[in-house]
Amino acid sequence: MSRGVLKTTGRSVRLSEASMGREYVVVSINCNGVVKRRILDMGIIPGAKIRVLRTAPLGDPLEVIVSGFPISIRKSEAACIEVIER
Amino acid sequence: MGRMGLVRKTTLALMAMASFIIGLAYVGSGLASVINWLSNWFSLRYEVLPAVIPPDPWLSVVLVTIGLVLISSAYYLMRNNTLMTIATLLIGSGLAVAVMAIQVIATLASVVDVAINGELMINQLLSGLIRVDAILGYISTPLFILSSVLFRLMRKEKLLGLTLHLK
Amino acid sequence: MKLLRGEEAFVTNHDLSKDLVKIKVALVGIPNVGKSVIFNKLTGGKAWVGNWPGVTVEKKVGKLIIGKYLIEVTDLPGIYGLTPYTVDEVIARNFILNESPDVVVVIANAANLERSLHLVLSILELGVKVVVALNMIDIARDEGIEVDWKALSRLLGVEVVPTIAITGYGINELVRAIIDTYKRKEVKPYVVNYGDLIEAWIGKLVKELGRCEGLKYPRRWVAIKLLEGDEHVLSTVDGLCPQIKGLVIKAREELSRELGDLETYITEARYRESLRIANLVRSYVEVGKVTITEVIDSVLTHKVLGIPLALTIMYLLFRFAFEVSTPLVDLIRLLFDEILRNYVLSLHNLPDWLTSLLADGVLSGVGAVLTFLPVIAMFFLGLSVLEDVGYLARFAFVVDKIFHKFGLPGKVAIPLIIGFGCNVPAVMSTRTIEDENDRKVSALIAPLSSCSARLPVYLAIAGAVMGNYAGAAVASMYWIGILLALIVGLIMRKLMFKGPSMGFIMELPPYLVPRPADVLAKTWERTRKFLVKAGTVILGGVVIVWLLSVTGPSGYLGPQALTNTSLLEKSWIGFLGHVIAYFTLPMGWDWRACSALLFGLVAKEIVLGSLGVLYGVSKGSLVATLAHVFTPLTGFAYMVFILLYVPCIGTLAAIKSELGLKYALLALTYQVTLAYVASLVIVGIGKLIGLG
Repeated sequence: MSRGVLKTTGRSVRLSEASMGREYVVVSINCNGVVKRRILDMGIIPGAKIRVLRTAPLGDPLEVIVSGFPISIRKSEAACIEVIER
Repeated sequence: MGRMGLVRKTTLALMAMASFIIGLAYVGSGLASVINWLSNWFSLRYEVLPAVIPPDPWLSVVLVTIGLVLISSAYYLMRNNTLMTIATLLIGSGLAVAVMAIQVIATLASVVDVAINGELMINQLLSGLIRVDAILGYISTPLFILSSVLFRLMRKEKLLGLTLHLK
Repeated sequence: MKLLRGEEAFVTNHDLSKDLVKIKVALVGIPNVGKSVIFNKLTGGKAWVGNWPGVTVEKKVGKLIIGKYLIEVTDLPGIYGLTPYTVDEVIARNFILNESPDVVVVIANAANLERSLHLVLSILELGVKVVVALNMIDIARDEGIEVDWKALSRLLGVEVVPTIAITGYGINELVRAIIDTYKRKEVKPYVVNYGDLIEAWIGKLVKELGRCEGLKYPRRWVAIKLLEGDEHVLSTVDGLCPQIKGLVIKAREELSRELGDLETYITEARYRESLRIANLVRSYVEVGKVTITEVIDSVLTHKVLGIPLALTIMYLLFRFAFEVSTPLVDLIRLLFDEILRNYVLSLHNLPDWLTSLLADGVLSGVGAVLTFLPVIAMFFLGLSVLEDVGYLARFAFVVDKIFHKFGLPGKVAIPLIIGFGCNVPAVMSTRTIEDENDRKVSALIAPLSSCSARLPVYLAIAGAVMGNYAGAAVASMYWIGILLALIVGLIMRKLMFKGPSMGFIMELPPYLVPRPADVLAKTWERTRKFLVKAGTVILGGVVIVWLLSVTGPSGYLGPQALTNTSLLEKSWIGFLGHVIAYFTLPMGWDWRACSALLFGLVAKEIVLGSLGVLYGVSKGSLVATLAHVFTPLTGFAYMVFILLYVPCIGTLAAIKSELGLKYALLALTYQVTLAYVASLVIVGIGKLIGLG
């Protein structure tokens, strides 16, 4: 099971900076501790497909879809998640 | 799209336009309510239709909000976004009906309340039922019913698009 | 076989329990899968409700009798996995490990298959007998998803029962599956293969653990948890066979070198497996139509319209609670203030003090509180509808940013809103907040939410002295309460309850038509807590306050004190009122207003009535009297003081039961200080700018 971080082809971004409506693939999770565990438990693992739906009216949190069920996640947590556009 | 689809889309367009007009009425009454409230606050004498439009700041926010949602239906129609056109139409008219229902029920409740204490105030009942949020709500009710029906039909025929939840 | 559940099961089990075979079942699932609906369908809704020992999480146990079997169902909290990080997860896994249920029913969401399966696989590792209830297949179908549950059953080696809990479809089959699984002799847990490297080390650890005396847990599970670095398991194993520690450390060192963070690797591997299984059994029979949820959310979480719409929905909730209930409020008031009171007064053979205690103490006190019952019940009714529809999650989503600025999760909005009805269930609702520190802070700031009981006092004073600005003054109480709640919450979170937050990652459930039975049950649950508070704590408090009014430093004054204010001044209430007036000299409140504050300690609802008694006027002329007692400035300061000064006894009791005595006392002291400082500042600034 390949776990290497896909080295940037220049297109890898943090989930917190992703564009609305686009589909991405998760590359790596860069934080630690409980937050990381929660992110993994939600199915946001390297290789998973994730689509960014919208941001909340005040700009934060984000609503994303992964594993078919929408999740709300703060930008500060989404910043840990490295994704690459599909 | 088929002829049925065309019929449905035209109906939707007509409803969006009606919604635009009703939306303007809501925004207008919301602003009028603010004016009335400011009038009270600063003891000015200018009031807009005080019999029908209460000086209630929270209500003004609600009226303006519903108005904006209804107006946006026409906006999305022009942007050719069928989904948002009917979504705003549904939610806007739905909330309009809800706000009207609350006003009607609250009026009835206060009349019953007064009745318990011995009096029967028919004026109170009538003035409550013709308040602006109630009247605009009566007008929005057919809009809500029609848009619900249309929504169900359009959704069945996938005229609204596909779910984003599948990947 | 006749199916007896709920009430009947409780009644009959006394006579038959000797002959029945008892099956212990645990119900587990990720949040939002319809677990409570299935629990209700299985047990008929009647459950014994209590707390898990040592924590404040609710424990529900119900029964069901079918044929010769008595099935006892324990509802475990909704969890995503079995980590040691949250109380809920620890409770769930400890129950399964220590209480040894015969069958664990894992409820899966057909429309959220991977996440559900992740939990299923985690549970299977515990080596228990499992039945999977594949719920919400109707919602899945609507999205175009079909799940081959037979294939899933073959793959996992357990019974899989498709269900639509809200209609009851599949429930009978589920019960049958539970019984069949119970009768099975052996358990062959589905094994997730973690790769050769890890599996090798698992093998070695399992062998060592075999020599561990007294280890009751399944060895493979323990080995995996040790590699993950699970603190709880580590300390348990350390206690039983400390010799294994060296091996564990070696294993983790070697594996981390090759694979990186072990916990991550293992979780990912498990998730990948659930994904693989999900993809094998799931097919998209047609591309799904856009869901109702997407349609509604496109408007309710709209960039521009989202917040105004939230305000609109709150408007509907509040009008519903406060205005629709007025006739009922009046009826109850009539009952207590007139019918019952006149009855008591007409009883001639009672001693004076008893009549006074009953009429002026109990009836007027408890009565004042109970007149709020309709308001609170309707408030909770509306709130439960919003909750079951799914809107509250969106509300938290929309306002989260504001709360984030104060270091709190958006979910805290919900206890604060509940607090607008009554603070007691608001404090209790903080249980749903996962992070321990967040939860404690929320419970402590919840009383700053202006509950419905404070409203009459605001209205009276504002009406008396604030003229045109009365409405704004009353409204400002609510906003000031929320603002201070956030500020205090920030300070507490940063200074007293330090620690990283678990973050705010939340699933947004689909919008559903709420089921009347569930909504009413929830409403009753919350209203019941208010009633219990009224019946017990307030009753006691009211009696004490009555005693303090009819006795004084000089001795017994008699019930006449309650109608004679100069006599009342000599009672303990008067004495304490003067003491408080001394401290609040700058605020310029007279001793009577200060005495009223003591009544508010018991319940905010009785402050207004007590003001009437203290000034010797009937409620009707109270407003006129107050106009002479307060100035706009001192009146406003008094309102703020009432908003902040102490949680009522009921709320204090709730805080004590949720967090402990220490925190209840903390709440008491910080709020009194805050109230004092706030009203001092208001009066100070007011005098400075010449409001006087």
